[in-house]
Amino acid sequence: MQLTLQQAMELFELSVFRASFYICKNRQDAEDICQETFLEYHSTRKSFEDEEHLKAWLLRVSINKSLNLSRSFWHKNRETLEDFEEALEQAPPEDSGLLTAVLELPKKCRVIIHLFYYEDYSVKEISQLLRVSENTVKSQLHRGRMLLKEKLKEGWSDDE
Amino acid sequence: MTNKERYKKAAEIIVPSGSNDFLQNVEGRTMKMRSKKIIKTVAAAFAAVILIAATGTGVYAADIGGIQKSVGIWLHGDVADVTIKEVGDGQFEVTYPDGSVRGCGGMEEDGHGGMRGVSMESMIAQLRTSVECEQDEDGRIWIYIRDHKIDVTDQIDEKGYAQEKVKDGFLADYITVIWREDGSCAISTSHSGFDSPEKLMQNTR
Repeated sequence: MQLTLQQAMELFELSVFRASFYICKNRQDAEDICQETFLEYHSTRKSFEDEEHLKAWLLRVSINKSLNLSRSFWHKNRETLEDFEEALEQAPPEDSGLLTAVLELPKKCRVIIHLFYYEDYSVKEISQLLRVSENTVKSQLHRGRMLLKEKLKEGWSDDE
Repeated sequence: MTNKERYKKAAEIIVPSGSNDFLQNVEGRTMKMRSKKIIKTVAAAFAAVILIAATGTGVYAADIGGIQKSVGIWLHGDVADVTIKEVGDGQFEVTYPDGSVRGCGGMEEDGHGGMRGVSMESMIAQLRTSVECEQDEDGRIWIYIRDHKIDVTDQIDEKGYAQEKVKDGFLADYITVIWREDGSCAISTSHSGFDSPEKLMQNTR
């Protein structure tokens, strides 16, 4: 399976950007990492079995890059949602409330929550993508759900 | 509404800034990287001729930026000593004898169905066995494989396809190339025969 850079970006740009944004909490950083990720796709000679395989690879690359960036001293002093506040204000309260609550979760927890609830990955798939045990994924998911329930009350149901 | 439906609806707020044309930016950067790489490696090859006799291989050294190692690789058909430094998970910086620095890295299978950042050993092996195809400043297109330098400019047909037999025996005996007008290329190597353009495009990029 081989996609051109344009095809890959059309299909996965938003997924890669959003995964990165949930870690960096900064639009400019997420955009930079998104570009870096697709540059890496452009330069890799790796072949991909199908679109899902490619998507998982792109997400993994962008998550790694985002985690590396977010660990840097420079970034720790930079995390800001200022450039996003207008969008949050214009969004329905239930959406902005949920988004804000997720972004307040611990970093590793919100990555897993995002992959599970947005990308529809299973616990097993997330463990493979992030190279952590399934038990770690389960416990972070549980923790994230508890924290979201605590913050959002009726805005977050008990379904999984 | 389920939690997943709620979550996906809320996530729609998160979009890149409208002013950012990702595709245009990325394509622009790939072009810059390509021209920069050619210029840098040409300069590095020139410096390597002077430094081959004076340098050794395999020296580990740790500094505040991470582990780095000095290794010998093939560069434009000659041996060159470069320093490879780990700068992140699966990310490395290679410093060439002329002082130019090139980033490289990637992912590899972890043996358990997942992926991980490529290790330094794998990266060194890749550097030592990579087959490069580059266009020089005179417009000639060259294949570099270990100590072989092959000008394939005249073998490339109107579709960019070229075949070249090489007496290497170690890495490959047959090299198939597709050279694209944008300066990128696809290469396959084999001991048994040439690849068709279709197979080459399927297996490489």
